[in-house]
Amino acid sequence: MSRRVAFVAIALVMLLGPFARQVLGINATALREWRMYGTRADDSCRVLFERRVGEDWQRVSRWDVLDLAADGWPKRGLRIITSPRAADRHGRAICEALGDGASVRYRLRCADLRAGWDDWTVSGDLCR
Amino acid sequence: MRALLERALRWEGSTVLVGLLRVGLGLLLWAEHARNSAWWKVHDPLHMAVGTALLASSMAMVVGWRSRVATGATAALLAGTYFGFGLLGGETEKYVHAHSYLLLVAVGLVALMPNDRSLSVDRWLALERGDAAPQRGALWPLALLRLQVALVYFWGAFDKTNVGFLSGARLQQIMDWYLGSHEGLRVPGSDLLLTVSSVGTVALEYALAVGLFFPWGRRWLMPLGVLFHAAIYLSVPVGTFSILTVFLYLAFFPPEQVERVARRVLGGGARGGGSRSDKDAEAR
Repeated sequence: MSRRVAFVAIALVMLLGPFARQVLGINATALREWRMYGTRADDSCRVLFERRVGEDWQRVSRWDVLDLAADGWPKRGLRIITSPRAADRHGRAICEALGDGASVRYRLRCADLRAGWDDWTVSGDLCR
Repeated sequence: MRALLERALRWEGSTVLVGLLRVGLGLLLWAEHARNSAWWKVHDPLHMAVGTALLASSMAMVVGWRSRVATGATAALLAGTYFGFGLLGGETEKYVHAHSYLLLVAVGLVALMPNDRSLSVDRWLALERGDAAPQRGALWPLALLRLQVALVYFWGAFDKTNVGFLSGARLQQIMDWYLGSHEGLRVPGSDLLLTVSSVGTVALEYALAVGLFFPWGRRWLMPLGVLFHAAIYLSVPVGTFSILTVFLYLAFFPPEQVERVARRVLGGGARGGGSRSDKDAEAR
């Protein structure tokens, strides 16, 4: 009888714990949920810089222009952009590196945990 | 369901697999907890005492001395670190993780099995005394260990079954975070590859949740599972989770088959014997 009780009790905790947390949304931390990396990198943005070449806009790599890897693998603070404000700042650094007369903008979209990515937004000329 | 329950409750078999689990989990425990328990890391008396006790009990568990007590004590100490230090004490970053919980459950279930009868100092001493028990015993907790591993896969896949993950976006974000930059990975076609990987990940996890219970699943899905966990281990920081999960695949093999392979590899003689036929045992 004790074996049966133990078996059923353990099985119920295994089965119902994640159900309670992941389906019902019950925040009982004593029960285990099986989410791995569910919220990691949830504030990162994909930012693609572009420079004007004639009438067109062409991709320009901040990584290459600023030589981010010059001193080895760059820290996350250099590699990851988490907001349009930070993108503005990094874009202006590209303007400085490219010199007078350059026109630089970015296309940006940020992480959305359930939808994946937000919509792309395009900035104005960061060098003006 | 009732028939499955009765079958699990009456399950008896070779304990060689249980011995292997006991040894391997003890070693994985050292890899997981050593950095949290060493005196150079923790300086208050309670943490130092728990860390010392955990090292002592897990050493006894690995070598199989007073195996059942050692494994039970190890499970209790792990529960203390997870629920006590971790959840109640607020040290969640150190002690509350998926892999630390899975390790706790696995050790706890091994503690409920006759883990002293094989691959242990206890068995050696019993043989010396001439009163060694047969290498067989009640294996009902092994059924629960299988269930736990399957549920890790199922609920992990369930959590990823949404547009955000299946579109590839979440993997792209995570890979950007660890291996790339705001420009993505510096590998042509990486976004497409990550989208395909995302769908493949969810499909594989659902498949593993079911397939590990069957011979065809062990044959075809286990190698994929090993590759899957290897890729995760190389890409993102997961602690001991990858290797622990792969190690627990061992629990899905029929215990008699594990014993036969162990004897063959070690150059042993006749099987441990038992009341079930080989085919009946292999069906588990």
